Amino acid sequence: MLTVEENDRLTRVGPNTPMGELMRRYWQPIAALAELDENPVKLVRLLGESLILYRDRKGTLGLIGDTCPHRRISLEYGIPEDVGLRCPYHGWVFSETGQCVEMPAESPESTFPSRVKITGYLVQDIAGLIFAYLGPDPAPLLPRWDMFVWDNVLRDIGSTIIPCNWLQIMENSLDPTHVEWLHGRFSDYVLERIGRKDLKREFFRVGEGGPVPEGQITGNFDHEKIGFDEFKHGIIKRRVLGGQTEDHPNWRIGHPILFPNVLRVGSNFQYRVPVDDTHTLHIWFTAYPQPPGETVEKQETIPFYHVPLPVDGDGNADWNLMDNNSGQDIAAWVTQGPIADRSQEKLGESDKGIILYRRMLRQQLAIIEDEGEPMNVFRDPAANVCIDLPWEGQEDPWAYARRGLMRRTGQAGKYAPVLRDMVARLDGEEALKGPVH
Amino acid sequence: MNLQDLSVGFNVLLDTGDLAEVLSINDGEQTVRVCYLDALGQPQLVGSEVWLSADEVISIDMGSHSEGQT
Repeated sequence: MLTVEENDRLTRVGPNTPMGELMRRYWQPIAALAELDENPVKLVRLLGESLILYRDRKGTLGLIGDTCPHRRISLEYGIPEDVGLRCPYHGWVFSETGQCVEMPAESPESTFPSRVKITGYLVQDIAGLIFAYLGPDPAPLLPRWDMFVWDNVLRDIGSTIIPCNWLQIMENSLDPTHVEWLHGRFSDYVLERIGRKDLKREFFRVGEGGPVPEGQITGNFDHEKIGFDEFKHGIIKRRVLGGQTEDHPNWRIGHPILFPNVLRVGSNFQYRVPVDDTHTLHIWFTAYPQPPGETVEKQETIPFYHVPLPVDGDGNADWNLMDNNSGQDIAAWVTQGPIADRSQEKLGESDKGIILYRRMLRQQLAIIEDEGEPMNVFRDPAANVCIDLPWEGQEDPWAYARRGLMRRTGQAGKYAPVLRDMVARLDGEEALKGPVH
Repeated sequence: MNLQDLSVGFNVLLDTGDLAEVLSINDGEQTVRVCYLDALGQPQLVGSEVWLSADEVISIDMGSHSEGQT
């Protein structure tokens, strides 16, 4: 339980808020490069600020204030030029730094443009994903996490905007036992609701339930033990599931939560980017390992997909969109409210991962309040060539992918175009028929 | 948490995320008296002593590692 004041301190992300200041110390992903192929100008909201992301005709990315300072119209319909973005109203042009470089209606000798500058933030891309940095100078390095630089993988990027605060989404990643219920028992209930009772996996906890009917798969997701370890990039989450021992990679290796707002599960990153206090840009970045002996060429474009919301802000649900883990998770997060009221919660021992994470947030807040540098801010290029992370599938990536990813229930795999292609190629088109299960 | 798992002198993690030392245990009332060791949200609490309900104590503190049966 948190006080109302502490809940505000950990959740609110606007300029000059404690958490907003912490989040601004990190490069935050804002869009896929492929999104700009269709429309090179995109309105982006990040950490409570309204901005315009654009790619000019020479390929330079810019992230600038959303309003032309001349007559205050939106730059959302700006015209990309060879250099910069032109306001559609009177033609003022702004470079990627936000500097006005052209005012067509003013005298050619006017020095006025040099005195007009709007917000301009740094942007960089890696592996098809565009990141922005809104923090103090000097900007740190854009982290080169392992999946961004692996060879011989295929990648895709999905996103959606979820109408709730970022913290309740992140806390879900420190809460292992929800898997057996939300992605087990509730998942079975969803299949029942959409008329596919035959696909149920009959999840149960040890000691519960009767014999498993013939032909049904038993999903023994019961957690016998959970564990968490702080490490240099965040927290490692471990679990021993029914029938497993501590020698299983689920416990021996576990998977990381990267501070402050990334889950790494399998070969998938889930970024929870605060749009504002009550909306979160959720990005799924996946690198798909390939079968042994197969090589793939580097993709020219990393495909992008949109993930539909299974519930809207009014609680209206589409059960057909809840046959997969992300659909189930999103439904849970949204029903916690725009900002979960932690002054009313009741935590138990199984919530110790959430408490550990909140402690880490507070510790890192204290560091920046003392003008220190928080964790996961990288400045040494030699240490940023490839930042390897532990994950359960690291000993046999293809086996892990074949067993987990290919069912398409995890992450947002139901919608991922590269995964759909892989499933069709390896298991046939029939395997793509819904629902996923 | 179950108070029978606690002893005086244990460091415990509270549901607020704060750390405290167990000073005494009242099994009948299901309460525990603690002294705050670390209260990142409200540093003025450090050193103060309060009675808490058993439900406000989440687990025995294990430092940077935490584990438990479910």
